[in-house]
Amino acid sequence: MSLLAVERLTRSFGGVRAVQDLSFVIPAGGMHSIIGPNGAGKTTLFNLVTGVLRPTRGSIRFKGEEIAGLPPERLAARGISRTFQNLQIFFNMSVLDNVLVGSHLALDRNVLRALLRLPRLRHSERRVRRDAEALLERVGLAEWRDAPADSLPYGALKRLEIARAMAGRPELLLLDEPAAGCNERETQEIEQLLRGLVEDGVTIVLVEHDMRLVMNVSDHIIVLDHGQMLAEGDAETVRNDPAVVEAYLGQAGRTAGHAP
Amino acid sequence: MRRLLGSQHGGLAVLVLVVVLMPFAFPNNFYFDVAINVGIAAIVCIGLNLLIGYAGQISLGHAGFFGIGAYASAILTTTHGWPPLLALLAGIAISGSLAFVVARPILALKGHYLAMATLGLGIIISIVLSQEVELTGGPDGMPVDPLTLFGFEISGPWTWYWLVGGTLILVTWLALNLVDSPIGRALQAVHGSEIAARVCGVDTTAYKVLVFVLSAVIASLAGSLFAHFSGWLTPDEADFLRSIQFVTMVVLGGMASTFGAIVGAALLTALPQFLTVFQNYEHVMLGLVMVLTMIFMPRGLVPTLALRLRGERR
Repeated sequence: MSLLAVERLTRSFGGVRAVQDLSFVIPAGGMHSIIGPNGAGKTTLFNLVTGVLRPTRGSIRFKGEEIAGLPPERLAARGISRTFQNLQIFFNMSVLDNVLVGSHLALDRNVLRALLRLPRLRHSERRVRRDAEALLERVGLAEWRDAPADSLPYGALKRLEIARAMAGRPELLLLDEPAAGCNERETQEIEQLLRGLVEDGVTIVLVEHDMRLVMNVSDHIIVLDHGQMLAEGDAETVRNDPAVVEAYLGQAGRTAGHAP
Repeated sequence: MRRLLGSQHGGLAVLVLVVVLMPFAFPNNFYFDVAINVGIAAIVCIGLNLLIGYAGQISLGHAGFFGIGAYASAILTTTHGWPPLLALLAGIAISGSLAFVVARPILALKGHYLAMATLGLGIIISIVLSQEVELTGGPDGMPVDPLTLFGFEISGPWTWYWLVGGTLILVTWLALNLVDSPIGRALQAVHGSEIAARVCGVDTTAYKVLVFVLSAVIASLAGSLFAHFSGWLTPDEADFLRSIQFVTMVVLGGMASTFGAIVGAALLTALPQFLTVFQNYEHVMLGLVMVLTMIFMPRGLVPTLALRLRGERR
């Protein structure tokens, strides 16, 4: 069954169509990548699927239900989360508190109980706190737990964003360039992390410029160009598609093809 | 010392200790007077700090809500003979409803626009209070009946001191609880990144409205106490300068620090009282304090000192 079905999706900014009549299906499970040259509409597509932008036309269905135009907080409740290309960390909070905000919807949000610090609220928080600590452990940030988020190095912040997104227990996780600006070792750490998440049953949609990472981890790749789909398939198919090689991969694609 | 100030319960214990012990060192009634005014301003600032320090919004009009509470208490008790507690609750209801109605359109604005809109709101309230002469006595002000609670009249410096001190401790405790809850974290998330907060499922608009209403209600409560305590009320208490005073207290004491708000309120209320030399220059001093704080310790007094202490420990 398809988890996410996008149909004839269009988004214009003035006269420019960033996404144009785009249709595709993301089945449940696995790692799906969206690639394409700069300005192909990848981030716009992410913003449309996560409710940050409203589509000009078209439909987005999640688990069979129409979600086009719903705000991000409603989509979070339905099981869609994401990270951002330019970090959107809560720099005014601790590392653990960042992850706890990710669990917002799982926590008791009654104002009166919060003001009076009633035991019921503390109770619901204890369990979520343990989960958050386990997530930090998993992304390798356990030792930074109580540090202010603004004291972390860049690569760690990338992983913190993933931990925060995971804290909401999403079914669909969209990652916008999780390896951007990371060195080789950090990229490998992120690759391991993503593989683990897929094993846990999370469906991941990845936008990434690091072709080696994309080709290594993706079960399914969608190539965009000028807001339209250029090609689709597994790494092998996409890599050998002449239109893709022409439009985008070029040298990089052939190099990746020769990689062991 | 650091652990005492760092942990919330430790901080609260220090506050209780200070409030309880301080009056025994007061040489005369003037000190009680200052301390009670400090307490009232601190209550407003704790609420305002939730809005400014934690949620990252701004209000240059909170003296308006202080004024609504004060005048609701004054008019309903003195003119209409209501019991003071009921009048105080009515003031809270009026302030809360007004804040709720204006919050959505106002808090959709950001930065300078939000500052201007809240400034306008404060000015409108203050103009209404000074123009409705029939109701408020106009710029000359009006007398306010003494406060009676459950049949007891609150009078004399000691009784007033315990009432305001107790309220301050209660409001501090509530604010600390709120900050250290999912709601408090959601408010800070709104400050940190609104879009990321929404992606985490935080309904940012709802939380901005909530914190605006909460801070208005707290200001209104403090206004009611002030009206009864001073016994005479003028629209000056609700004007623009008063709003700026509150904001300066929050910024000086420390953004996103409940105890900072109290320290800021204490300094800016008490210092002009004891440094009467500067009486004519109070507004200049206010501006100077604001500028110097922004330049030398943008985090404010308490967070800056806490960081220093922590640094020395390492």
